[in-house]
Amino acid sequence: MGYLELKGLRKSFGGQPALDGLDLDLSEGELVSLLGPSGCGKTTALRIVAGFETADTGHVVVAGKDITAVPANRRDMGMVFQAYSLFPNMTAAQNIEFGLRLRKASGPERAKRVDELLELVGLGEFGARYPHQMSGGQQQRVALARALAIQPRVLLLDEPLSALDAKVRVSLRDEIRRIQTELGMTTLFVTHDQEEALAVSDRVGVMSQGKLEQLDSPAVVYREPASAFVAQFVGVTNAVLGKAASGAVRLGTFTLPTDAAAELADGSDVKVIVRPEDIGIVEHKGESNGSLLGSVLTQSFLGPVTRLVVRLDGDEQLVRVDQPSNLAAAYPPGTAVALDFNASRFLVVPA
Amino acid sequence: MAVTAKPGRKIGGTVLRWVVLVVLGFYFVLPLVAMGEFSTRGINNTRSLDSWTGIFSDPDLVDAILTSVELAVLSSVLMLVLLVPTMAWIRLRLPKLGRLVEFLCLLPLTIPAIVLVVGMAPLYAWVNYFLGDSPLTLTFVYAVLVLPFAYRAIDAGLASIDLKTLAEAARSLGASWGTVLWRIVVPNIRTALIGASLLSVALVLGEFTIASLLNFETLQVQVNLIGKRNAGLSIAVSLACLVFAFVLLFLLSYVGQRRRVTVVED
Ligand SMILES: Nc1ncnc2c1ncn2[C@@H]1O[C@H](COP(=O)(O)OP(=O)(O)OP(=O)(O)O)[C@@H](O)[C@H]1O
Ligand SMILES: [Mg+2]
Repeated sequence: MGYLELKGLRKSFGGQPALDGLDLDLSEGELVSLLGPSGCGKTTALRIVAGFETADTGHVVVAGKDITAVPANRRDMGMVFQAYSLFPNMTAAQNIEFGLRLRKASGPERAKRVDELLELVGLGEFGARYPHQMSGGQQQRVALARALAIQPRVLLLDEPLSALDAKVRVSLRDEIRRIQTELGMTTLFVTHDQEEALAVSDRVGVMSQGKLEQLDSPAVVYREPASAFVAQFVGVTNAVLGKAASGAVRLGTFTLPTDAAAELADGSDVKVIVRPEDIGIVEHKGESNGSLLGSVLTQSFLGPVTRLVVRLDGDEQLVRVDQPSNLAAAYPPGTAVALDFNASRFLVVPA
Repeated sequence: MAVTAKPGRKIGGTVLRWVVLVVLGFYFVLPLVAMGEFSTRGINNTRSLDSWTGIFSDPDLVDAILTSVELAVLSSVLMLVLLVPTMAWIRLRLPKLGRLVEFLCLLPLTIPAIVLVVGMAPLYAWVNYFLGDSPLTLTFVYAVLVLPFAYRAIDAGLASIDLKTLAEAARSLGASWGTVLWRIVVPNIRTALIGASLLSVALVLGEFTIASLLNFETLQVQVNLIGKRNAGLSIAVSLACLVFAFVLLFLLSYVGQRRRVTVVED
C-alpha cells in the first residue's frame, strides 16, 4: 500500500474525458513524475490530488486516509504552480511565512523557519524582496520554499520549470531533486519534458488520454517501454514499417527473426520500434547478402553521438542511427551501409 | 524606412493641441471662475467671503453636508462588501455567470433616475417602516446607483492579477475562502478598490434627483433649496462640492498611474 494513492480517478469536462480511470501509488519519500503529451490529464490529476478539482469517481488516499472529500485548505499539500504564483503584495519572506501564520506559529518560530527555507533554496539574501524584484527562477524557488514551509504531506509540482529558460531549468530541477531527497518528501511532479522526468524521478508514469500507460523507473521506461506509445513518447525512436511473417518480420527483402511477431497474422502490417542507439551499422560493399541495406543520407553532430539518417534500399524508409561521434566519420553521406537489428532491443507492434 | 516628422507639421500639431486645451479649458473653467466670482461678491462692488463662511453657520446645510458624507461612505462600503466577494467568487467558481452579473451591474446606467424612483417608492415605504425615515436609508439606492462604475473599476483590478492561481496557492497553504479574499484579493486590487470608492463618493455627493424625489435632505437638495433664497451661499457650496469632486478624480488618476513595473532577468 502506497503513501499517496490515486484510485480509479475519472473526470470529464463537458462530456470529454480528461481522466479515464487513473490509478497511481506513491511510496513515502518517493518522487514520481507524470509524463505525457499536452492534454492527457496530468494537470487534472494533480489538481484532484490538491483538491482544486473534484473527481467524478475515484478516491485519493494519503497515509491510509481517504481525503477525497477534504477541502483543499485542509489537505496539507504543498503545491508549486506553472504560472508565477507568489503573492505580489508580500515579500519573499512573507510569502514563505503565509502558511505558517495560518497555522498560528509563533513569531520567532516563523522567522527561524523562513531563514532555514530561504537558505535551503539558496536565496538567503532575498527575504526582503518583492516578487517583481526577482527573476522567474528565483520566484519559483521561493514558491517551492513556501510550499515546503507548511511541512506538507505531499509536494505537488505542476510544470514548475516550464516558464524558465533552458539553463535555469536544468539547474533548478537538480536542486528540486536534491531538496526532495534531503527532506524525504513524497512528490508528484508533472511535466511534459521527458528529459526532465527521466533525470529527477524515482519512477516515471507515462500517461496517455487520461490513463497510465506505464509506471516504472526511468531506466525501465526507457529500455523496456511497455507500448509503442511509451517508446515513441520517451526518447527518440524509429518506427520501421514491415510485414509479419511466421516468427519474423520482413522489412523489404530483409527478414528479422523475432518471437514478437508470432501472435500477429502473417502478412499483416507491423511497426518495428527501435531506438537509434540500438542499431548497429557497418559499411557494405558488393552483393546483397540478406541484410538490411541502405545508404547514409545525412549526419548531424549531437556532441557525444552523431545521428546518421539512413535511407533503406527498396522502400526508401528513413531510419535514424546513432554512432559515437569518433566513429561516425567513417560513414559520410552516400556511404552504402548494412544495418543490424539482430543484437538489439526492439518492439514489434501492429501498424 | 525612416520617417522624419516635418517641422511644419510638428508645430502645427503643437498649436492644435494648445488651441484644443485652451478652448476646452475655457469651457470647463469659465463657469467655475464665474461661480467663484459670484459667490465672493459683496455689497457695492466689494469682495466678501460672507457666502463661504455662511456655509458653516447654516445648521440645515451643515446637517445636509454630514448626511451626504455619511451616505457617500456608507454607499461605498456597501458597494465594496457586495461587489468584491461576488466578483471574486464569480471569477473563481462560476465564470459562466460573469456576463449576467456584468449586465445586472450595468443596468442602473440605462434606467433614468425618475424611473428608478417610481420603482423604489413603494419599496421605500417598507424601508421607512422598518428602518425609520433616516436619509441614510438612501444608502441602498446609492449602492445600486454606483454599481456600473464600481463594477468596471473592480473588474479591471481583478483582471490585472492571476486570481485563480493566487487563490489556489493560498488555499493549498491552508487559507479559508475568507482569508483568500481578505489577505490576497483585497491587498492586490487595492488601487482598483480605492478607485471604485472615490467614484462612488463623487457620484453620491452630486446626486440630486433621487434624494429630492424621495424627500430626503441631502447636500444637493439643500443647495437647491438655499438657491431659492440665498444664491451666493448655494453657489459657494456647489463650487466647494465641484472642487472636492475634482480633487477626488485627480487623486483617482494619480492612484491609477502608480504601478510598479520591474523585470528581472535570470
Ligand atoms: N476546467 C476545464 N474545463 C474544461 N476542460 C478542461 C478543464 N481543465 C482541463 N480540461 C481538459 O481536460 C483535458 C486534460 O487537461 P489537463 O490540463 O489535465 O492536461 P495536461 O496533461 O496538464 O496538459 P498540458 O501538458 O498541456 O498542461 C484537456 O483536454 C483539457 O482541455
Ligand atoms: Mg498541464
